[in-house]
Amino acid sequence: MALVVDDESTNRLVLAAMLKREGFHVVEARNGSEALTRFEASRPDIIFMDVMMPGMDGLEATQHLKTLSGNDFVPIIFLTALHDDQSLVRCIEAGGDDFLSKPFSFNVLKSRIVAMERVRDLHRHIAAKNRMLARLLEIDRQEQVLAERIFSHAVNDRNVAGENLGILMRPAATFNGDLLLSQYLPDGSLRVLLGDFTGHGLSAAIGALPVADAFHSMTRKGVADEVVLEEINRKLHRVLPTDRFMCAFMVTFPVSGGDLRWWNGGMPDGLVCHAEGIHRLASHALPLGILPELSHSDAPRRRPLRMGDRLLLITDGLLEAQDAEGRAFGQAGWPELIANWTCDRSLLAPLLQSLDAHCADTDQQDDIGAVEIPVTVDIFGCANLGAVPSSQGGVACSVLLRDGRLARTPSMAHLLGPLGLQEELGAHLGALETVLHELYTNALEHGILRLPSWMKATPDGFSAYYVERESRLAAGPVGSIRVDIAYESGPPGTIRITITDSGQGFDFGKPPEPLSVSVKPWGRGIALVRELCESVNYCNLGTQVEAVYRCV
Amino acid sequence: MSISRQVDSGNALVIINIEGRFDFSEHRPFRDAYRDIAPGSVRFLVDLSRADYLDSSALGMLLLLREHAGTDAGRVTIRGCTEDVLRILRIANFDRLFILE
Repeated sequence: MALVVDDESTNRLVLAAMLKREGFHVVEARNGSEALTRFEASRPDIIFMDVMMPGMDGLEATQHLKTLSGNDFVPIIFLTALHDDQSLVRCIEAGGDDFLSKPFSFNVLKSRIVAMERVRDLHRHIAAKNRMLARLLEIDRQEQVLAERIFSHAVNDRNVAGENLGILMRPAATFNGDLLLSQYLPDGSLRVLLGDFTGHGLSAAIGALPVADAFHSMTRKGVADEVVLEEINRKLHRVLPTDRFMCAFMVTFPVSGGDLRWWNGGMPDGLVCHAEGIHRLASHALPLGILPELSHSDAPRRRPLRMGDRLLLITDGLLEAQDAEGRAFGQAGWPELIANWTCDRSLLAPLLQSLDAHCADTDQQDDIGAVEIPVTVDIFGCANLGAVPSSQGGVACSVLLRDGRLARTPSMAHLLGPLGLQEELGAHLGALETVLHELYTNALEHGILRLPSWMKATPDGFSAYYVERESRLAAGPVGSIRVDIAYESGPPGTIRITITDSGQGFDFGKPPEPLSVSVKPWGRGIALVRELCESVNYCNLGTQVEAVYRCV
Repeated sequence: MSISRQVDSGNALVIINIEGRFDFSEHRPFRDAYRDIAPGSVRFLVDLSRADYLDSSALGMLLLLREHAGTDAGRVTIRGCTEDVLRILRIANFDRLFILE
């Protein structure tokens, strides 16, 4: 449909006839304001506009029409008897798309229409693409937000000690390629991991979930640094493509005050601020996820640490953050900041200030991450399990069962699973299950439930014993039993099982009868354990027993 | 284009020259520089003497090349690193995966 706007009826008539020959349905208007009304009513595909008309002229009408048509492209062609450049320029400025000088031939009109239709089709095509793009961008944005929510729940919500650590995390995209994890070991020691995935955004952060899972669950079970790193490395190597990996810095602060254990794979130097100055912890290992196994030289290192020292870990995004002149922060404010850092004050506030001043009026290119850890008693968790036996070069785990949970004897396979020892100990698993089961049963029945074993002297007593056991368990026992398993690799490997109960103890001084000569129906459990183990020792009035098993 | 290559078929060696910033934008040209060569058939020499910057995605690209070349030691040599580039390679401990000349 075409709209013809002209105050001369002859002109309208001639043009309408031409347009009808071209297959157009024609609507006519005599001046600008009528054109606006007709436009609203009939929504034409193309408009032919006279310039000079009484009332609203063509230029003004065109401005209104262009506003009315909004994002739709409705070409307006001026029909003008004016030939001076200025008038033609004004037509285009008012929003006109083309002009035809009167008088014009049918063929010229026809070719102008074809050209306009071409522009209009292109315009519509682009508009449709834009709408689709806007829709896709919106979907993408929503997915990013959703993913961000899931990600922060799975990764960040499980972190500990956040209020005592100075944390700076600034993602370049919604999804963060930098990763900060913190978790307590069973004895309350603190472990922190700062990671930096290659690249940015979703693809960079996708590996964060398995890393966070392994880090949190293994740390809570007391798994040693190198084993956690091995596991994370294995997982990343499996899930990430060849060109993707994670640089990482992992530190463990022992609650007992021993050496700091640190591991740096491809991250900038960690900085220890102590009374005498700054000590650097340089990268000594390959980033995680590159090789299937970590090599021996990649083992965590140690450094003495004192209360009051501070540790700063950073990602390279911080050092590479550019100012308006393209100068990296590492070459600008950073060196002076470190030179003036003393351990009696936090570096984070001045760091933020200096970084913000540096990055003013620039777009952030890379994720920026930093964490400052002051070595104070506040950073440690509560040692709800007491001291864990030291396990130099080994692995350890602990489980604490209380009250209602006491009835469920823990299994060795279950405890060894997270340590990754199940295969290594395969042949010994049966014997170890027995040792654990017997010691645990003893602690439960005699320590917590206070059942006397002589009850089992007669067949009746034997069943009475178990009936009583059931009823005492059903009544809701009160107390706790803690199981510690420590493995030291050999050869031969040694497993130390320590069981501690909260009961009153018993007279363990009486030597047990050897299994071979015993004919009594009770007291076999411990004897059996003694046969299997290298040593079995009771202490603390019988509330604690330690059995040492050698894998020979 | 800042990546070019020379094939020294006599020595079964492919030399890849990188000029300017070696970052993600070079992903395609870098890959094109070796992917028509049969995997594991030749040694590679990556010449970084005219590269002034290298980012972590470039480290990733080097790992892809290493995989293509065959991961046994000595198949990929990196030559002519500037101080800055060398520092990044050292921090990542890539001297264990590549020969740094």
